[in-house]
Order: sequence, then structure tokens, then C-alpha cells
Amino acid sequence: MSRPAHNQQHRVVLDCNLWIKLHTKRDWDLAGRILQGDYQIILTSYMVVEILRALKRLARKLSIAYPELESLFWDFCSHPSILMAFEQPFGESLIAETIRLPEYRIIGRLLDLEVKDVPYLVAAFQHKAILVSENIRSLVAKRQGIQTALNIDIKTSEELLRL
Amino acid sequence: MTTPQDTVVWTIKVDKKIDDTVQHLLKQLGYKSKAELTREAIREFLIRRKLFSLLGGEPMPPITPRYAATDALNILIAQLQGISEADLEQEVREARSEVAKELLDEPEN
Repeated sequence: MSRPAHNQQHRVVLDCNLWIKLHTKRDWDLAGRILQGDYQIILTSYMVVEILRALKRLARKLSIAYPELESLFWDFCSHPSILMAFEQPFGESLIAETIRLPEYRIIGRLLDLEVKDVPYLVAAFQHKAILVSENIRSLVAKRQGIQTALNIDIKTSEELLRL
Repeated sequence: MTTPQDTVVWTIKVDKKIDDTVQHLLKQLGYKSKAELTREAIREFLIRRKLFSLLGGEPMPPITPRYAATDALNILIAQLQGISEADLEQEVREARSEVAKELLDEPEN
């Protein structure tokens, strides 16, 4: 299948639940669209920590080796559609991302969000990306206010697929 | 906003050589005070420590992938297929809470 021209490619930030869904759901349309290059997926160091922590917990639950899952995750991230928005060493990038905790708290309080959702908002803002989430009680429910305050477009995966 | 009740005062004795280095760094990096530099250095140290406790080490993207991205995704899906939707949701929720608690100092829900 041909890859869309670069200017048609939507920049996207996926929330942690969607990253894990991507790793567990067979024949999901979103995975197919990512693999065919329809989106550029932004991946920050904070997101990596959440995803790897979830994979670590799943490995324990299923009694499988975590290093194998981690290695497969990184191999998947080598796809040209995935933009790893950090430089090695990884720890330096994580520090730069999370040291601004007071600002994250203020943003969270202003938008009535949990602080853990703020790194995703910041990534979407920095990279002019659509934030994709299935969290209908938080990000999706509050998207109108977020759009007004920060001009960040929040969509569900179904809505993204319809673009 | 921090109140006087939220803070404690540290008095730390350091040797002259460290003091000279810190004085030099204040000018070079634009810190307003030694206290500001010290607080930021400690926070960086804590983030590193917490990253290690969360993942057992610093994640390192491989220079050369073992599998093509599509193959890696298919293997991941096959490896994780035994998990139920409910368990999946719970594990992701717990993982996010743990990371937030460690890295963002946010209490678990």
C-alpha cells in the first residue's frame, strides 16, 4: 500500500492504554494504519516508562520474561511511523521531562486533570499532535476545555480512524 | 504554594574544592543560588533512582533491532494474548499509578 504524502500524515500522541491495546489486539485497524504510515506517532521518555512498567506487570501476570517483551517493544518502535522524541541516554531525557513537576501540577489543576495525564498533553502541545485517548471520564470528557485553553485536539481512536 | 510548615532548613558542610566548583557552576548555568542548584541536583538524582526501581534499570533502545517492526508487533500480540480485558485494564491502571507516584509524586487513587 502506498504511503501518504508527508503533509497528509497526522501527528499523534497515543495514551498508555492505547499503546498496550496496540500490543495485545490482533487485526486492529489502528495498528494497520500505523504500520502503513498514515500517522506519525510521538513517543516520549515518560510514555516509555509507563508502557514498559505496564509490560513488566503483564509479564509477571502471564509468567513470561519481561526482557523479551521490552526487546520486542523497542523493535516495534523502530518502525518509521514512530518518532522517539528523546535522545540517549534515556535518563537525561526523562529528567528533562519530569523535573518540571510544579508546572505539571498547575496545568493539571487548571484543567481539572490528574498530573499523570499532563505529560501526554505537553507532548501533544510540543509536537502539534492529536492526543488520542479512550479515557472518556477524563481527557475525552474534558476535551472542549483543553481545546480552548491549549488548542490540543483530543480524539478517540475511532474518531482518529475516520479522519 | 509551599508554606513554612512544608519546609526544613539544611545546613551542609562541604570542602572548599566543591564550593569552588559549585560557585563556578552557578555562574555558568545561571542558577540564582546554591540552594536552587542543590534542589535540582537532588531531584535529578531521585528521578534516576526511581527509574531504576520502576524498571530495574535504565531502558536502552537497541542499536540494531532483532525483528522487523511488524514482526515484533505480531510476536508481542501473540505473547500477550492470554490476558483478559479486565486484567489488562487493571494492570495498565496500576502501572500508571506506580509511575505517577514514583516520578510525579502523585498519590495512588
